[in-house]
Amino acid sequence: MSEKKLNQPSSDNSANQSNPFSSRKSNLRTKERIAFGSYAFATYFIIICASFIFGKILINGLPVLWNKGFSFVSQKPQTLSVLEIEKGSYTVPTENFDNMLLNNPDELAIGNLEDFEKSFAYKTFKIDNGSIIGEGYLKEIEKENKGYYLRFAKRDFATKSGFSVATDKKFNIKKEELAIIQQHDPGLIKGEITEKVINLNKKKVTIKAGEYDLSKNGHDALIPTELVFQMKQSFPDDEPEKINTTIIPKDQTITVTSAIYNQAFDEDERGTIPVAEEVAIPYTVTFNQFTLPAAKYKVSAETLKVLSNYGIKHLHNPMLGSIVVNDDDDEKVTLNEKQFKRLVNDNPKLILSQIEDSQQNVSYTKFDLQKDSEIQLNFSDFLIFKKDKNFSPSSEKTHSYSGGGILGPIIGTACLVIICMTIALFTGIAAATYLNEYARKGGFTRIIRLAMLNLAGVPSIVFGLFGLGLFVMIAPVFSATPNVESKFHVPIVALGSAPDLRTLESEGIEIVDSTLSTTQAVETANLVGAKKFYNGWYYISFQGWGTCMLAGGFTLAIMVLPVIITSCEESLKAVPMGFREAAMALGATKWQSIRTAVLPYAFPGILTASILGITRVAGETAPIMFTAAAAEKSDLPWQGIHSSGFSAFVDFLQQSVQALPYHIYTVAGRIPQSEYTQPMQYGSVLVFMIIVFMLSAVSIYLRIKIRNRIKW
Amino acid sequence: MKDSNPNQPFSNSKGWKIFGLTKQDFIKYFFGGNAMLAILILLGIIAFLVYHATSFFPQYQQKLTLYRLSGQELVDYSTKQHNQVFKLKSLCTKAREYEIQKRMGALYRVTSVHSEFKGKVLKKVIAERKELKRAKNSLENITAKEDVTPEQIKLAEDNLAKVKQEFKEVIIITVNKLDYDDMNNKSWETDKKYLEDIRNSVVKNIITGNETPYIKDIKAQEAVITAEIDQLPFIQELMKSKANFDQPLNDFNRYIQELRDIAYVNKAQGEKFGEAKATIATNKMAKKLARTEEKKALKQLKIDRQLTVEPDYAELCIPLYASKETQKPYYEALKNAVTVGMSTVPDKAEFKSPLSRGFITTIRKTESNIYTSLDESRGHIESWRHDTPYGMWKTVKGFFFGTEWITNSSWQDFYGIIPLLAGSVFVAVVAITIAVPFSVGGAIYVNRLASKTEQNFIKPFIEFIQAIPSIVLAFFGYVVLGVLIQKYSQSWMFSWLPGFPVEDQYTILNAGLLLALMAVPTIFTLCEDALNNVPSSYKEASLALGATKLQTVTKIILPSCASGVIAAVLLGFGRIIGETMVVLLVLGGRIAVPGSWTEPAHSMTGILAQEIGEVNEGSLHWGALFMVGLVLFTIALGLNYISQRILQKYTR
Repeated sequence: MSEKKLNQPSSDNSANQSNPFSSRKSNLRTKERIAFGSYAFATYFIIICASFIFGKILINGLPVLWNKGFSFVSQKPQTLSVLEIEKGSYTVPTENFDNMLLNNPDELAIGNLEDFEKSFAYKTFKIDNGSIIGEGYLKEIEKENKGYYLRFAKRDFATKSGFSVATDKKFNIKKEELAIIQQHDPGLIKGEITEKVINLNKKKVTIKAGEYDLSKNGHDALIPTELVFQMKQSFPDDEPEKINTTIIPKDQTITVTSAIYNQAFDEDERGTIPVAEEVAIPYTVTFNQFTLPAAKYKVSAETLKVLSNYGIKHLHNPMLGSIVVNDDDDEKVTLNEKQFKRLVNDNPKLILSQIEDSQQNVSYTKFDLQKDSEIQLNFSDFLIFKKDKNFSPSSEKTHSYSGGGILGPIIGTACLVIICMTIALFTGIAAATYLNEYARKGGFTRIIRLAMLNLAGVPSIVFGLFGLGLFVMIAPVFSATPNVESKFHVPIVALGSAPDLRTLESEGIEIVDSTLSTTQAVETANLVGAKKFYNGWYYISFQGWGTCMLAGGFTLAIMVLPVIITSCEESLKAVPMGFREAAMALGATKWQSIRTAVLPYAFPGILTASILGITRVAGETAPIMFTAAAAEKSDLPWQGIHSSGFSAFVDFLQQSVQALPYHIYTVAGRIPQSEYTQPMQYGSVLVFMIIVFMLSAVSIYLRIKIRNRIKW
Repeated sequence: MKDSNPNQPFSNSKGWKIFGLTKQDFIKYFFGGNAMLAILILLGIIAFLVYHATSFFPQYQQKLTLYRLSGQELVDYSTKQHNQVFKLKSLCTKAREYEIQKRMGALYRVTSVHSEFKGKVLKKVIAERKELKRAKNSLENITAKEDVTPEQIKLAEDNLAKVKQEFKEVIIITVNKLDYDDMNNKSWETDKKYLEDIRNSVVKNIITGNETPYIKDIKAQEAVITAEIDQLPFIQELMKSKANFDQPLNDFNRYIQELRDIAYVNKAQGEKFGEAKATIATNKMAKKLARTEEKKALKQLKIDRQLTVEPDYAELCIPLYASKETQKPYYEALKNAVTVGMSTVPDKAEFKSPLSRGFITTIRKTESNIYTSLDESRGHIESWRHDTPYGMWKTVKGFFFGTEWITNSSWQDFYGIIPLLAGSVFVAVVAITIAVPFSVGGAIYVNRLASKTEQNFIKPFIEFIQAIPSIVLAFFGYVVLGVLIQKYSQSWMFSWLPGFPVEDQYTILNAGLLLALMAVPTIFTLCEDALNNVPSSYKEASLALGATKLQTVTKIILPSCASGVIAAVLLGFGRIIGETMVVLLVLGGRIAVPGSWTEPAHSMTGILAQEIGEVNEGSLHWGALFMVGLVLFTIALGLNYISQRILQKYTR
């Protein structure tokens, strides 16, 4: 092609036919200068643009890091409260006071600082086996003692539960309910019981078949009755006034309360059904009144159930019963004095041992705010500030995700990267070894290379879709308690051990008769509204892993695989052929020669490739958006896992995480913008850029170093 | 290895065999299996996209069939006619509004700037305001007391006066710090000469709480100028047109609303009937499994309450068929109004505002096809029958050529990919157009002209650009670049560009610039490789023939590596079209076919990221999104394949 071009005289030059290029020097010089100038301009313009972006982020991000200091990377993200506080004197724990200073870079007018220590009394104790404890009390203990998690196997209805009444309380309850109380706790009511009878009417109505107008109110009232009626269309949620047509297929007679009658059959109103015939049926309801004087009481679960409807304060769960403690752990727990007192009062059958008094000193700071000011507080600090009675903000605005730091997202990204690189490097190195060491030129290899090339061009969001479809929704799980909504179940072995009661309750597992087939088991569990079922078998259940680290890690690994394979292959290729031949000549098998003479020498190159891969993976948002990322998560990945051993590892992998890029997307794009959200935005972006650039600088440095050092 | 012969570096124990395969074979097949993953993943992606997308067309066809049966389709033809004329009317209104804005200049925004300044100042002096209130309260309390000495009152009054003075000073300081640059909307036209007056007026306004004479004066001036402009003959003509366009619209709208209600009821009945079948099936199953008689009866009641007779659409549509005749006068009135209205639309040259001129051009353009379009709709109405089956071909066409993407609508959902595809392609074209000159120019410079030191600096730097995560660029565009473009596009230097000045922050241009920066490293690196691969003999031969350096580069080297450059551009294009975060945040999210590069738009990747998290699995919307994913995948794969082929060919 160029040959032809050379022989043709250029068209704009007619001066000298024999000379292929004109030599109008001066003219060309300027032209050349302009052209080369513009090329240089293009190059440096790109660099200036990029530098501008770096600079802008640096200028806005550095002050944030400077002000918040280390706390920015050591705290979890949380809601930021912006409060208007009047001047005055406040007392708060020093820790929260310091956090306040970090969050308010502008000088607050603070004077008269005074540090002192307050001490609080605590009780430390151990709950012994055989104790019976109300559900709410256990939750309270678990809330105060992070990491304490009691597995129980039994609930108990027989034991009486305690509660206390602070001031005399009057009750006005139905006769049937009183009967329940008197049956189960005959001695409970000591005072006088008065009776009051109220006369009410029920109506027996006959409705003729036909088409009628029915309002939404009437429709809702009719649902609990036995009337058969067929709506021609459903009621939209946003139009409560709408009237639709209903069909009564046959003449019917039903009995309804007067409330329902008024809603659905009152003929004066539009949208009600006309009644052909109605008969009033009078009936009475008897109410009883009595008083419980202020005292401590012990009552049965049935009585508690009744009294709970009338405003008795307690933390029991009378519907499910109390919990029987049967735990081998020797863990001790701590409660403050007030909570401990209530615990002992309300749970008569609690057996505690090793009770110890303890004191905790908390350092407090008293400060004067000398001017009315607007202060920014992390939400958790705000909750503590609120305990000070003087502290009453006149206005309170919250900005989600804009307070605290970015510890959660950093950890989450690190977890995702580790999972992803483990998978990607394992398969990537294996695939590259095959392609470079084993594969012969042929159809199979060509298809693999073609697939790899094309995989590299697939948009990242499509990988996200793929991950959603495969890993989140139908990937197989090995479990004794498979999901009901799983795509299909494959039973493996009948060796499952029944999960404890607590797991059953919290995860909605239904224990199904082991004689039922899987299909029947699923149907039964579905019927009672359970999410999972257990029938003694281990299943491979195609239910997907859910939105979790594992799904995100796999998705990212698939995305980065072509890059890893290509660069691993490059570094394998760089190992001279002589190494392999020498190993073979010494009698090594193919695998031995690869293991001892090729892979170790390709290792530095593979390392560079993997760091390059990390840079790419850490920055991706689209693939993890719906496979792994959560906008808000209060726990770090390793917190809040109650299982142990291998299942703890599985639980660890099967939870969603915050990720740095997704966090940036959330704080920038999904919450309303304001000046208060900006520090979090720029701070996270800057930290993210620093991480990514450090990684890519390391990879560039390594590559140069390897190139210089290794010369075969 | 320990117990092997020390003379032999590698142990060579006799391997085992299973099915005639040795350990070596297993290792080989294991590695091969890993390599095969690449194929499996690619096939898997295709399979998944297709699997989730296949349910889409049959479901969509069903929905559209109901759309026809219920008569919504008929009503929408009328709505379309109405909207076309309504658009003309609003164009007229906008043309006047922008003309007034243009002619008034900075004056137009004075009151808005004033109120924004006031808001900003008030927000900053919260503490002082409270202090003032406290001083006032204490004075009131003291005077209200009975046993009060004059000294106390004097003290309180002094205090109030002092606080008032301080308050005023703080306001003045704060307001003097404010400038036009602090305003939220950077596209407003401003003038320095008003700034001082506005500041003074804001101070007065905050202290007295009343409208200041300055603002009254400004408002009076505005009224005078507006009246003057309204007196101009061409604005009068414009208003006449507007009145003519507007005249039939109200009645027509009321008429359409009645039809709409009828069709809506029809649709609701059809939908209820569709759901009834499923409800009956699930309840039957539940009844079979129910353990108590009570529960069985409850399930039976639920079954009994479902209507099993299909709505009689022919009967339901009778009023709609009747409307074919009654719609005619409205249609004729509409057509007449357009004819009369069009006759008085003024010439665009009369307008000073470029935006208004644009609106007039749009009206003129509309004139050429609005009559046929109105007639067409009328024709559709006349030939409409509720029971014509809605064909699969039409459904497919509706997706691939549909210009509406409407979801979660109570009237009717439409899934047409054109607005998304157009947005994606438009933004990619803008980005490539910007990126190519820079990256090709840069590659030539670095490869042929730059010194060694420059090369060593530029190449890693561009690699660094490649490492910038897309979310960071998206963030930059969202927070910084949008505002910059909006602000500087007001300048006269750019006024010759089409679509300028830019009104919105989030536009195709904004996203295009960022995507261009993302594409630069890809194109740059590939181009540089291509330049490197040109044999040096070409260059030498060219120089020997007396060519200058420039001639050598442009006439010898570039043509001989053209295919590499083309491949690089195509590859960059594929990358850009698949990029998600930038278009999600910066493109503006308006689902419509964009008319200009300074308008907001939406994209295929953006819609996937935005909507797939909120959609139920297996629903129609879900299927539609996976179809979009499939289209995106096909485009990206196609581009990638072609560019790889070109690259391979030319490297060989």
